[in-house]
Amino acid sequence: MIVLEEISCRLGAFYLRPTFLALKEGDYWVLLGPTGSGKSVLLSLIAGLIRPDSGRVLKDGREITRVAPEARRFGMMVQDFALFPNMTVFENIAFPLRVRRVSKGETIKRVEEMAARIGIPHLLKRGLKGLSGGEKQRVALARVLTVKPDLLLLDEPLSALDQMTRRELIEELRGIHREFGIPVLHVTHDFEEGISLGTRMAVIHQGEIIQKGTPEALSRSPKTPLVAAFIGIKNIFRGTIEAAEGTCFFVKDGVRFELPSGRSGSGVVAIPSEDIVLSGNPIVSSARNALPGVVKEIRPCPPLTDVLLDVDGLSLTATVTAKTVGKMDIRPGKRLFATFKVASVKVF
Amino acid sequence: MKTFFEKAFVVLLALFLVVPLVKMVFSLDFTVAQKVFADTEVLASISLTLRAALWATVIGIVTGVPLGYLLAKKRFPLKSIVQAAVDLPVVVPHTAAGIALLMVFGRRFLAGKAFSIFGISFVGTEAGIVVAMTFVSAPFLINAARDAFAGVPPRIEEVARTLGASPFQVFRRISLPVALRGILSGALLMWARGISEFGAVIILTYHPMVTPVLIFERFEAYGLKFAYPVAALLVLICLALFSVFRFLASRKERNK
Repeated sequence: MIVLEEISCRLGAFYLRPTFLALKEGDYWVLLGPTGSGKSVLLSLIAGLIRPDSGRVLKDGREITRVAPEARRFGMMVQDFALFPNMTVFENIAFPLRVRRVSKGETIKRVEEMAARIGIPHLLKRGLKGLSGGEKQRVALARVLTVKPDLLLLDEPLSALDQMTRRELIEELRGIHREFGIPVLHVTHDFEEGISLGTRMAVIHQGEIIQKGTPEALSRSPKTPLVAAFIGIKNIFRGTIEAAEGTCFFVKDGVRFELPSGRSGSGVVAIPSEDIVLSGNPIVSSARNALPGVVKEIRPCPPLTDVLLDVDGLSLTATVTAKTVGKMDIRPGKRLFATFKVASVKVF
Repeated sequence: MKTFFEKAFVVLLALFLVVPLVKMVFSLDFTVAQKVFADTEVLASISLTLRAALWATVIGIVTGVPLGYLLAKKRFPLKSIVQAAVDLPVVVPHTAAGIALLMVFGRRFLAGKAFSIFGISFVGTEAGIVVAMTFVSAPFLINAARDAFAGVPPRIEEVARTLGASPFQVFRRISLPVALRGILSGALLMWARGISEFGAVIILTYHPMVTPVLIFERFEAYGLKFAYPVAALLVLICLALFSVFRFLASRKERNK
């Protein structure tokens, strides 16, 4: 486990406020923030590339605040891949082994194993020229994993890739996180990427972590308008996806609704709150999901209003106009139906 | 699309640079050339020049490459002053540089006295030639090394650190190999500048004569007819050497 104890750092005009963060085994942390918010600074602090002005970094209870980056056993992957241009693909992947003086035979064996695992065994003999962005990032991924690091630091690793390659690499990262179990800290400004991968999420702005927790918690109750704006989607749920005979369902507690697509297993879905229609009685329409619930709370956020429904323990937010609230006489305790199209549900 | 005037300008400039050298080399008739090639004074002078410039370049590599690295990658007090000092030899007249060197390396002066304990003198010796060549041509190598190191993305070096490499391993396995081409071309430039140095060398060491001094002496004593064959020979040797280097460099690049 890696713990940041109130670390702070001043770099010119930028100030990273004292930050506490605990990265546990099995956690996939996504650090979300706009450009210049200090997310890369935080990553460099953890990697040991810059020293904090105050606070401590602990690894399994041992202080490593002043330990050199190479002695921390953390691996870093960055947006522009940072492959070594003077080396072939093989030499790049072998680099962490070579600097650790691993024997030649062992190096070849481990590089080949890792290349096969990441799906690039055919690239090993190549130079870097002519590799696609996706291939380059796979090489970087294999390189960072050859010596199983104790923490994976990812600095916008997918931002330079096209949409399709990005989806492929998200799958790859998911698989690796499951398989290796090492904690990951993934920095990005892309919420979809974050929600697809993160089990924990922190929003950082102007050098301060404004809120952290599970993505569901952040989406349900954002602490500040900025967090809300960053997360964008209010209804994020983690649960079970059941796919059978061409139809998919999301199931959590007693709630069950239909999805446009998905694979069986655990998954994350989101329903944009603006796409939810509220009604007193069930309505007949093309929308195939209608959930009965009880109004828990009404939160005005002018010019709109968020209505929080309790649907068998699941908290569902619908965004309507203030006028609607008055006309329909919506108040806490009232029973309503929440209707939304299957097509408006996003599956991550 | 280039205009006619732009094209004409480029052609004129190229002609201005190339024509004098080509004309000199092709003026060399066979019997004169034969004589020059057999002239032991000329041959000794050329070998002295190439050797002294090579020594200067070796000194430049050993000291200038680390300095170039520091200038490109590190922050330290008085850095801008160090950088200005590196550029200084380029802007001062070379005879003035020679005088300045003489006032430090001359027998009666500081470094001259210190080295005389070891029996090394810098006036009228090959060591003096090397010092003069190093002084005036080192900036070319230092600045080339600095630019080459500056061209190595810091991100790559940082990632290498997180992957387990010590600062020295990063330098040896990444920064230096990536910057090597730039450094080598800087070294080549320094060597070339060393070979062609006249002003600073002549102040410290007239004898033994480096080729530029020999050319000057023959021109003064016997005139153009006796000076140009030596000049042509030096130019030919330089061109041949640099062509070989350029060829090797470009081949290495293509293998990447």
